Amino acid sequence: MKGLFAVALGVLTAIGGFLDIGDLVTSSVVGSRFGLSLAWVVVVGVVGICLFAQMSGRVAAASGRATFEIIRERLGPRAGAANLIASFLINLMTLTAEVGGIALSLQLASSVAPGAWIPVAAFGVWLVIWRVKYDLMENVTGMLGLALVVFAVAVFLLHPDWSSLATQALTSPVPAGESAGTYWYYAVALFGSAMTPYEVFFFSSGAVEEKWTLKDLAQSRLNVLVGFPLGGLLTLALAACAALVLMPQNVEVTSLSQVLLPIAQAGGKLAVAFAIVGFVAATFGAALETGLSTGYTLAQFFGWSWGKFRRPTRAARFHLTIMIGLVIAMGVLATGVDPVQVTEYSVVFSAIALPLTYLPILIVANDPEYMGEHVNGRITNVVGMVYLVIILVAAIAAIPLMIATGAGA
Amino acid sequence: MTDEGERLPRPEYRGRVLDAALHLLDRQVQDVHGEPVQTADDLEIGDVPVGESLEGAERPRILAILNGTALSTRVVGGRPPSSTLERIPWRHVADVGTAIRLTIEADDVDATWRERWVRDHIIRRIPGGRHDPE
Amino acid sequence: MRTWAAAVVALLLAAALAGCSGVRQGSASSLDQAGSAVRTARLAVELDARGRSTHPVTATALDDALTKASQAQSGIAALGASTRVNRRIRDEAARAIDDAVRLLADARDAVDAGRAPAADWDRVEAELARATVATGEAP
Repeated sequence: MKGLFAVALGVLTAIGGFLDIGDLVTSSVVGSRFGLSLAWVVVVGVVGICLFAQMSGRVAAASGRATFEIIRERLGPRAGAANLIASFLINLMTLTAEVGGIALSLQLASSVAPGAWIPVAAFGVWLVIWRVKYDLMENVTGMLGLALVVFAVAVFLLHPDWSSLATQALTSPVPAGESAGTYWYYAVALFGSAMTPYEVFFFSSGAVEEKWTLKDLAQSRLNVLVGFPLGGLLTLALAACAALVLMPQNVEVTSLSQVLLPIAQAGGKLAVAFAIVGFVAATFGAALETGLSTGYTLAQFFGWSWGKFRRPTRAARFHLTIMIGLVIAMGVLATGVDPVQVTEYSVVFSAIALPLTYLPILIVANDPEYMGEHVNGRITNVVGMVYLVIILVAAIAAIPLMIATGAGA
Repeated sequence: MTDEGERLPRPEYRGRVLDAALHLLDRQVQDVHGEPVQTADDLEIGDVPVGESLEGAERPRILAILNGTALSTRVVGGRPPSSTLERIPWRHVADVGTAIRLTIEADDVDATWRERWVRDHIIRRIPGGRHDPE
Repeated sequence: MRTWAAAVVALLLAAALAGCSGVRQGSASSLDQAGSAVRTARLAVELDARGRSTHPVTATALDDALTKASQAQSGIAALGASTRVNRRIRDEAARAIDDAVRLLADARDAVDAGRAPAADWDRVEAELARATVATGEAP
């Protein structure tokens, strides 16, 4: 019974923890402009994140080494440092977006301007990282994040024409009024938001934090293989809500408040309340994950002591890095920049950084010295290589597409 | 090992063959309790005679694991002044696996002075810093 | 020498043409942006009136819509039009967007004060639509 509870808890947390501000914004923007015609990208992205999250967890459990230690060791100091700088900056950008997202979500609950919420949000994130145990933090934000299931319910309440939704998703047409350039630009953005590198840093470091052994791998695989696809379904539900309510009215999503309007239409005030709880939990959870990831990447590259399982005095530079990261995020947001825009850029830059993260994991997962008998199987390797090609194409295409389309305008 | 490894001359002693670049450089260094200390930024190797026959010369030995400015010179090139290097003498190394394990505690390693400084001057002074998370 | 001159002329022409389409495209996208903001606000207000949405959500949605419309307003103000036709297109677009911003500001103030906004959405939307058509039609 207890075992069943643990399994359910793990899966539910994975669903709730899957979404962050990047998914909320990107899938709604895409839904309002392209309907479900980019649904295939979510599918491709979810399979990819399952594959590599599971792989990095296995590497961490088998070798005790987290992702960035491996990146440094396999790529050497030069490529490793370049990778560190890129990953660190993108992670910082994502952290900024998430903290801004908490503030925007709290504005939707209170109508107090987000500027006032930003310091509160950043302080809250720091306090939880400073004092709250790892698994408690994960479980609470994950479970509350499940409130976003309301988007899936809303799709049903909106009584859509299912066959036309399915046709849209399966034939993937470029809608009238959009160019092929913007279509592919948003395909890259959506892919980047599904496969954000911080999820892998976080997942592998989390495996070390929770002291996974090879025995725990079955549970982790289940969490990933069931939780992430269901999380991906929620992403599609977000897109579908925007496609059903906002797209016909020719409303283009540019703010978080617009994401709520289909929910209000479908389910009224109660549904809105659920959605706001889900927003706060998803952004807060992701702010914790990205905040920790700023510490993880730097500490693992330089070999510092890190982790929440240690008391802060035993991982001093790790905690200092996180504090500085949060202060920078607050500083950026204090300039009045729109967090939604930061989010839109962060998912595209994430797509650019993907090969830097995923190639070393694939290499090490094949190294018997690290993995013993748990090296990748043949099928995993084939799929991994296919994904590496996809990731590479997306990364190379991202910047030209961004310039050509004026960032999707 | 790789094919190249098999072509190496058979060592005259029993034990594992370690490739310095592959197994030592950029590897995590842990103290006797498994606490992370640093990454092996570079290695200090004993003198090799220059300009004379190597016949009969002593085999070069690894003297220390380096830290500090050693990393920057490996990234941008050049040669750091020897005085700015932070060393962990090789005699403190207990074992080399997926991490390099030491026989001493992290606090006894000179190279961890930054960690100790941050801990004593910042982290320790913030309430809750000395307690386990709850 | 001649090819150089030809190339320079071609480049200048291209730039002039781009400037032309720049005003039209700029006007059209600013109108799009303002139109999307107005329709968002309208939807938010209607949902609120039907009791399906909460006050903070409506207020935030109106605030965000106003911000977007104001951005469209400053976007169109930054367009430099060199020909008479372009100036006419731009000015008509700017007038419609100004109207939209005014409407959104009034609506937001009303919601902030706890009143139902008495906004003439149809008129402003029609104006924006008319201006949008003009950006595509003019010779």
